[in-house]
Amino acid sequence: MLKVFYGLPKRIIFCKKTLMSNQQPNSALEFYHTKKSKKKTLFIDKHGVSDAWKYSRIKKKIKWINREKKLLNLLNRFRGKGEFDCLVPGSGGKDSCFAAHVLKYKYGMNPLTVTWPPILYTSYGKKNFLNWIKSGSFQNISAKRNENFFKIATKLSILNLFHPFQTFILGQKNFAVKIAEKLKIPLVFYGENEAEHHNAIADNSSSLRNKSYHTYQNLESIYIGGVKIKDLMNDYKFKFKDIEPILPININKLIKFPVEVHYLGFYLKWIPQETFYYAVENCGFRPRPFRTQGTYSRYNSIDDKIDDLHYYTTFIKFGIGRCSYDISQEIRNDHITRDEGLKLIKKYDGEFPDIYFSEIMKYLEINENYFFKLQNKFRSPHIWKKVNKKWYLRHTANKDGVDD
Amino acid sequence: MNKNFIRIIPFLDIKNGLLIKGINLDGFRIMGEPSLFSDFYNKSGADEICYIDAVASLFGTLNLTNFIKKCSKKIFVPLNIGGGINSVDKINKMLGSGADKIVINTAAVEDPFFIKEASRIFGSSTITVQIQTIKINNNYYITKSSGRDIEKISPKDFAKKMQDYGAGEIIITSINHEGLKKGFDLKIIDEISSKLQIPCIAHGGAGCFEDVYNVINKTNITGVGIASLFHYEAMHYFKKINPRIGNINYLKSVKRKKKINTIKELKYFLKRKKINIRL
Amino acid sequence: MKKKIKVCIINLGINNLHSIYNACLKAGYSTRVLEEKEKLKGNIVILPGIGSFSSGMLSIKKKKIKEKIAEYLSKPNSFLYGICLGMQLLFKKSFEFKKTDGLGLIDGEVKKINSRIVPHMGWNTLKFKKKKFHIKKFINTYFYFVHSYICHPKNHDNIFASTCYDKSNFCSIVKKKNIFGTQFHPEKSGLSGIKFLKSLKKFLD
Repeated sequence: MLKVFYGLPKRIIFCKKTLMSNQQPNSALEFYHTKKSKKKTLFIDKHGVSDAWKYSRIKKKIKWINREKKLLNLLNRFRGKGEFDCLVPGSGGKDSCFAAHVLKYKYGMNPLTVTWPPILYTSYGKKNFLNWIKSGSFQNISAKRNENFFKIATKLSILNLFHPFQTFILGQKNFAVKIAEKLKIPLVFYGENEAEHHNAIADNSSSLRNKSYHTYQNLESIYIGGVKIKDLMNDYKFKFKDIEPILPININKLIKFPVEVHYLGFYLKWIPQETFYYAVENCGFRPRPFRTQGTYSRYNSIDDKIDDLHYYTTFIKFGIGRCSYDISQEIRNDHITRDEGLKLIKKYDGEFPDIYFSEIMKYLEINENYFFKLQNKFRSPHIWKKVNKKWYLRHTANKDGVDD
Repeated sequence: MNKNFIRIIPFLDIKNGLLIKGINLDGFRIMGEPSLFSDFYNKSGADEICYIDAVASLFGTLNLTNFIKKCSKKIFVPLNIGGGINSVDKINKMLGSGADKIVINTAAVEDPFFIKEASRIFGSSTITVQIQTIKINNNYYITKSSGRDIEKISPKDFAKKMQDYGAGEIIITSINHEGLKKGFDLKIIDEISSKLQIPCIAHGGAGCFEDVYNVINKTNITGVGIASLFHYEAMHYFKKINPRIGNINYLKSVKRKKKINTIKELKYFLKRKKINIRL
Repeated sequence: MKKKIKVCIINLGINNLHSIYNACLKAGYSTRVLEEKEKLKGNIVILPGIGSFSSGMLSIKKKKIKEKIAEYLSKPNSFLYGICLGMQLLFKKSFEFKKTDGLGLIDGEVKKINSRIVPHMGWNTLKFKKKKFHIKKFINTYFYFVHSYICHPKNHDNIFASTCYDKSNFCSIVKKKNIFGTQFHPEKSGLSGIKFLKSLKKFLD
């Protein structure tokens, strides 16, 4: 009997259409994320077709004119009120470029851009950020935080959870809402509507309050980097204010001032490739000057050096590399064929991101060799098999795994 | 400025049998049916036509042979083909299908000796090397595989090497400017074209007729490669296609126009500015 | 129905013949490619070529083309037309890498073009020596050139047309009785090239 980590489905199935596997985790509740956490994953039905594919077919039939009308109604309620009438979280990637620019220049809003900076900025990522602000003449607030805390939290996330991106995900989600409340901006717009989200509203006041309630009630039992907050503060001499930036907004503040968080991708037809063209043409966005390791593209999530490593860890834990994520999205958007997807996966999936690896390990003070030993502890036995001292996937989309 | 006759060369990127147009060499926006564009450009006065298989290096395929066979039956100006060509056998296949010049990029970067061998067997004038240049923090480097892999080699040095190894012509593609329609990278084009003794083609950035004039006037190139400037105009002229797979989002939004600006208008513009051009 | 002019294309095996073959068809000729053991016959025989002089001559020796051409030219109403390398091969010798003998049908030499940018690659115009009526239509038309060497006919009467590149003139059309050669490629010169091919026989006068 093969052991199965993370509560993943025992049998590995690939979606016939999108090539994504049923090991793909859906969004996790990061605050309760420990080694023992079980993941909710992508559902693939008995015909071998995933929910994500089904939603993409529904998306094709949507009448976008009606959705845009809904957007206009929403925007009309808030336009011109206060110093800023909406808030767009982002760091100058193609999606936030598109969202902020289109809200301002097509729909006449006055957005404030709010940035949770990458842990380690790439030089071209920083340039894209600056170009974004300059080209759109946007006001921007970038979070100032105790970098040492985030360095340690990131290090712990890798050592305990093999998940370098935890604090980034938390900060990106929670910081924007707090700024919105502080500056009395009632509307927050995220960009793309993930395949799993069928709603316009990412968070409304009640769901924000729920998050806040749980967090502040159970502050004692929250985990960051797989370590209890209490222990983090004690062991590393951190104060509450160091951790506060990534915590969700305090419930009391929300009672006084309700904030609505929407997905712009619910109202506008979101084609990732087209947001790339838009960002280049209007916001001075430039793709990475070389191919992103682990995939074939050059313009998705390129501002954080740790991003590449993050996708490598998903490959180790779930057998899903960055290329698999990219091609399943392109297939769902009818941009590439299943066949092309297979070829690309074979060529790039799981490629080790060595360009920034040493720099990241040095910054986080993790021994490189230790990292390589550590990664093997996170390979779920039902996904990986060791043959002659080397690790191989048991099953792949191309059906060339060692057990296929 | 080179006082001999300047060539205007439309560049067509082809993927899965469709004409596409990227930006900074990424993205696969579909423009339409390539043979329609090709015939149209031929009738409007294209001096040569260049077809690049945009994903040949990525997938290791050679898909343009049938397409070129059809083109060579009705187009009687030089046809240049590139995309994933990395062996003598592939060059033979392409020439046998009707290609006049072979455009090589990735293979030349990975193995410069291939250019030596190819030019020896097929003649220098059949072998064109495309140099994809990228500018990072004021330094220029070259790339291969449609801008996917960067090599820390100076484009000027590489161009000279290719000339020495027998390349008959160089295409200087500026990745940073490509697809943006904001003008050419005059600096690198001048740097390379003024140092070589073989013909050079400038490519990447043409956004208006004035851009084309500037690159001819301020550098020593003998040919100008143009894609976005022509394709985004010409796509208004044809009936829209509706392929099942591919990024057709932009194509859907395009409205049909009967009168469009194309090669003929560009050439008259250049002639009025005293450029030697074939009319 | 008017009988179609028969064109025979010599295959030196060093370049593809699609373009010239298709162009001759488009010009309205009954076109075929010479087979191995055949004799040369037809109203017009075309010797096309791209590449090096020495490999051209090597191929000619192997396929015994020189003898076939001699036999063809001895017949009445023969017309030999060399294109690009084919034109250069008609001459006595070339100075490519080493001195190489050509077909020797026209007295003169083939030497490297003396210009800053080599090869001469692109469109250019012709300056005809004689201004006969059928030539007028080609005076302001463009033809496609791609070559690094040029021909120097010893007898200047053989220069039918010249072209200017990099401020100096070279022989772009050579003619000696029924032996004709163009440095440019009519099959790559668009509709002007097709027109030129159609007019070939007229140049015989």
